[in-house]
Amino acid sequence: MIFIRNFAAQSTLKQMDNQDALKTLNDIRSMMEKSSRFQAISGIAVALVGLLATVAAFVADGLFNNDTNNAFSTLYGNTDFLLAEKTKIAAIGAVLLAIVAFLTVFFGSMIHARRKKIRFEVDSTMRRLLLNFFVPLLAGGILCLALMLQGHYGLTSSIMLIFYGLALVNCHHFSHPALGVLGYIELALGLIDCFLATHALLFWAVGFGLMHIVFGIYLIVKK
Amino acid sequence: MIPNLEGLNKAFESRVRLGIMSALAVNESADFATLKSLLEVTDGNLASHTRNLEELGYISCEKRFIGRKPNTLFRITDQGRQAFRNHLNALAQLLKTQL
Repeated sequence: MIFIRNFAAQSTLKQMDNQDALKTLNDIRSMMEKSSRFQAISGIAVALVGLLATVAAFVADGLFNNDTNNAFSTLYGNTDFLLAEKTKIAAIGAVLLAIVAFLTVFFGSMIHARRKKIRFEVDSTMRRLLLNFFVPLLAGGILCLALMLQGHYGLTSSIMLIFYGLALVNCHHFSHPALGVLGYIELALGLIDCFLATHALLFWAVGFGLMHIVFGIYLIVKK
Repeated sequence: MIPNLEGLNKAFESRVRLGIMSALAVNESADFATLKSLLEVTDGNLASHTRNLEELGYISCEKRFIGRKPNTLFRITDQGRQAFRNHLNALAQLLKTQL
């Protein structure tokens, strides 16, 4: 598709005109982007992850809300369901959610790439993308776990948001540039969140739910 | 390689060679398989172009083994980067003069 013209023009490079030069420069640019950025992120998968996170936030809200007639109280008979137990469930839920979210985006992008005939290969670019994404993310996850084990739950949502934001900022050079913008937004949300003792779940829902839905729609519309 | 009148490098006339240089200019390194799938060319075609660029001193090639599989890693050399930059400048110049 690209560069095809150059075969014909090989012997007549001396007469390269404006159009040829422009096309060659565009070809070079597209090859540079294609080779250094993972371009197949599926907007639908990202929006789906956002939806999932929003639902999870509502479920968690029901879990922690001590209101007598919410879903969990009814389910467990509103007995001595300790806060620690609830927190453990929420933490396991969050880890599972993160895994499901990653798999959704990964396989969603794979399908998206196949349908749109975009290159999707586990090459050095994708390895760099994954490494740069997961190193900050895992560091944040381990920090969260350590704080939880020591009984500090207050900063969980902001640490999740901050490290997720840093992970996105760190890896956006290897994929869609707008990932960086999303990263900075998550980072800002996380930083605001850590000064506010309340509304943790709201920030979590906006950061992981709403923002992903918006970003997913942006990816769909832009293409 | 002798540049022609417009300062364009004849080594970069072929789309494959131009593609190899573009990919290596923005990536620290790329292996044979990656380049092959990026450029959508055959083994033989890619091999002849990489050999050609290597002989010109524009790229360096490192052969190694991953397990038992041979793996060839290509990198752009300083000389190659300079030649590629000159080629890009010549293209830009061409656009400017003809506009």
